[in-house]
Amino acid sequence: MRLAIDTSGADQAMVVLDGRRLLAADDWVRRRDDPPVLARIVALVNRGGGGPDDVDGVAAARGPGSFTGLRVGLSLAAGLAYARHVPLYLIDSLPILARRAIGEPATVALRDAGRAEVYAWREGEPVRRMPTDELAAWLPSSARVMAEPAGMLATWSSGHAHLEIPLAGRRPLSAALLDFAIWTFESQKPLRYDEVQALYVQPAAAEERRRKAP
Amino acid sequence: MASGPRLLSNVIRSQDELHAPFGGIVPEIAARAHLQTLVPVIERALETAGTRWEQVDGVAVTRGPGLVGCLLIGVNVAQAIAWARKLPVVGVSHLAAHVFAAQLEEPELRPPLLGLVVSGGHSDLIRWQKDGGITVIGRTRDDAAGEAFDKGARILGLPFPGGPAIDKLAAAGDPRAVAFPRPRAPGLDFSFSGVKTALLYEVRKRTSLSEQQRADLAASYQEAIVDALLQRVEAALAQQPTPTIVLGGGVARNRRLREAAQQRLGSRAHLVIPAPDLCTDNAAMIGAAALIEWDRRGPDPAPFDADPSFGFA
Ligand SMILES: [Zn+2]
Repeated sequence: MRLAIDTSGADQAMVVLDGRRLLAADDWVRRRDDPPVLARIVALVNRGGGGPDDVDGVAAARGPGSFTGLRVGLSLAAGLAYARHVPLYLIDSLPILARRAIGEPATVALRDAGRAEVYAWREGEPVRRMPTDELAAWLPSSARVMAEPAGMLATWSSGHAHLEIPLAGRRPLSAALLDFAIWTFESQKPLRYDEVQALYVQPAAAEERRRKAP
Repeated sequence: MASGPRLLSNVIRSQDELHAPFGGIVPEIAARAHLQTLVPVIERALETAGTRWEQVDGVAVTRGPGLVGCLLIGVNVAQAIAWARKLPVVGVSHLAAHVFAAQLEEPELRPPLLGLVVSGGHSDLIRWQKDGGITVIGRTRDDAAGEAFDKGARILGLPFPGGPAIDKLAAAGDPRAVAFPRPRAPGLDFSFSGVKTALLYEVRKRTSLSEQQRADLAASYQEAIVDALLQRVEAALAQQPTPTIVLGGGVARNRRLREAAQQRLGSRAHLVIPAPDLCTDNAAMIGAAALIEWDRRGPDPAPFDADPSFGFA
């Protein structure tokens, strides 16, 4: 049984799978008084019909996203994989987010980065961080955008609201995570346990310039 | 363990070098480094102890207080390992652990005792009562003792961390050269901002400082802090005699504090100051605390979160 977790955003999820078969899934929205994520893992693995001895691979989302959420997910994944001596994988959060689109994955994924900035990813490029007022120039006119939080594209770049995939067009995060986890377990190389690191995306170049300006 | 705890290994990975250029701890840098070093440090602790996971009976971890980003990583790595290996977990207080570290020196450590925890983040005077409860009877109103050393060091142009730097420089100085005011706070509380300001004035009123003057200032400043700390311990002892006194926390490494504590308290109670390496933050003290907590309340039944404002219990 393999476990995949994504605690990088406001919507969080985990799945346990056997080969390509989903055994159990959990979706939740992050709240301040949430029970510890480990309690969810314990319950999920039980629901999947197993126990700690059955976990033989772990994948965790590495961001970008909430520092707190990432630290929880990555340290749980590292501890589990290390203790069981099983393969550990880190997966990129925004391509997972893009796969929340029903049907074809979104071509662009955006996640709120605070301070009027977004983490922005488009197919075939590394994730970047940019001020929201630069989005208009960066967004391809044919983009299908998955935004988090949902509905925010109208606020970030008002002329492009129509590019955002509406709520009705998205599926639970766990479904996207399952797809991405299957691909990862089948085709990616596991990490060493001391290589666990969140993806920290540096501020956009424009922001850097602004900060250095007198 | 009827004969008390036996320490097999105590691996410390200090981040001082990472933070030194910033003159203090940078939470973001600390948390990033934690994520990558924790598993290797655990591995090294097992190797040094000549132990395999199959021989480990339980896992202890700091629940708080501290920097949330760092606590999160420890709490989650530890509990994930424990669950995966079906081991019990004890979450302990970092502050209580500074007191319970004394158990590694004194296997028969029992309440009641008086404890002084002095570090970069805390100056707490506590009573560990006979019934097992811990009560804080004095705390700082402003800076912690370690902060007072760090800020004093900065004023004297010494590097971070300030405590060891002042300790070293003070060795060549006269502690009576400058009569710094003794910090006064109500009851058994501490206050160090006044003496820090006094040091600043002393430095500013001189156009230049000879090496001897700097050493004298360091020695006098250190003496004021040490005196203030011990004065409160003596006052607590006078209020309620206690057979045992424990000093802990990074500032308890300070040589003048150790020496003066022995002189002033040694004849009035059994004084335990753990070896310097057990005073600075370390994992052995967390293990010692877990043994005490295990006796007191057993392992934690369900997964728990990090708690940056966790107290002594
Ligand atoms: Zn400490």
